[in-house]
Amino acid sequence: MEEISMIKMRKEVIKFALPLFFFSFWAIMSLKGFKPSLFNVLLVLVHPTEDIFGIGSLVTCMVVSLKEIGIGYSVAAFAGVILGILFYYKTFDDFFGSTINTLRHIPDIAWIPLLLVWAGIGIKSIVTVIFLESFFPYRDKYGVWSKEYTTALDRIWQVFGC
Amino acid sequence: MKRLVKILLPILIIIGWEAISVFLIKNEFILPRVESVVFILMHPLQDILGCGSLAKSAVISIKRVLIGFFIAALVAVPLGIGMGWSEKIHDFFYSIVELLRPVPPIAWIPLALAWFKIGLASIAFIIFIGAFFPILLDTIHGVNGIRRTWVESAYTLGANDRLILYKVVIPGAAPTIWTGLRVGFGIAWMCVVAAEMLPGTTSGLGYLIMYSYNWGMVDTIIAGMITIGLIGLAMDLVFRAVETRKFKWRRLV
Repeated sequence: MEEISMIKMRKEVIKFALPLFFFSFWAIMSLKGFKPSLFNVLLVLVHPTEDIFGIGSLVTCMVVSLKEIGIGYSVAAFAGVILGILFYYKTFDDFFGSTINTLRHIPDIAWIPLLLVWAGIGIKSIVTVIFLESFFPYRDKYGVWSKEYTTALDRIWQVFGC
Repeated sequence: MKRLVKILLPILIIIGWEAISVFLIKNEFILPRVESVVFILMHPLQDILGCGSLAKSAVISIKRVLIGFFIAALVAVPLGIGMGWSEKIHDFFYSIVELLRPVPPIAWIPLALAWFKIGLASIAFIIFIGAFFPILLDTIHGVNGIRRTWVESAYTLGANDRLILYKVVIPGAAPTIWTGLRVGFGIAWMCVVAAEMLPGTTSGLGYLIMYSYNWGMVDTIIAGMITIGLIGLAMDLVFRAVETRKFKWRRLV
């Protein structure tokens, strides 16, 4: 029993050894003038409502980011799931598949200059980048799901005469 | 018929694009005509605004991505094999990996600039961060996914740990490691474009499209995007071709 608890404790020590070493090393380097200083980082983290360079606090920035993610992600999730399921239909897959597969190889970040021209600087272009980032994984996942599962389900329906 | 359906949407997009550009928007600075973009793509060696040609920018970006990607693979694959194979190594590195993994590679950019200044080192660092985690996780997953029966059979036949690692674990995990490398390369390619868009960079495809944005040359932006997409697609096809050829056995297991 004691041996088991010793093994568990040793396991926990091993788990925290590297982070502990990492932060200790960072603290020592910060004392020697390394930037970013661990202490300044901690100061910002423990005062999350304090204004930073007049651009708002950590909390305000986080709320703004979460709002943008919320909008972009919801639209992407909705469109991705719907399109993914529609990819079950072979004609739909043939029609959209090649274009979407080609577009997905353009990194989302490369869309930024074009989006800035078309949508201007602001929430519209930010939300569109988030949409592009989240759309493809959703479409892929549900596209695969609709193909794999519905083939099996189709056979079951056919057995029952549907 | 099937082939026709497949190329129908791209054709419709091109026709729609040309029609909107000519009849609706009528402004090359917002939506250029198709032929303006095609012209740039057909003359890849022509200098663009004094910042080099499309081909030269592409070569520079590919060179950068290869440097960052190879360093990431050199570190992530052995570490992943170690983490997957030994519980002690896994426990030692696990917390720090889980702590750093959710940080997007782009969020490292300011820190990379502060540490390595503007240049190849900071770009390679961002690519390294981007490619490292997918390669590492897939390697761990690949090693963990090795069937117990394979390892036990090898032990029964008298193999030692070292032999099992080299003859069973690494070859068995190779398909998943390769998938990790493919995913990692895709992210590395995204990271190089992001890193080249930073102020201070003076070459590469990311720089070219950002520079064109500053000059309002939307046709060059679109040509640059298409080039980025085509290179990404080509690299992906190479990875997939090797996957199909070398790891065909995976489907049989």
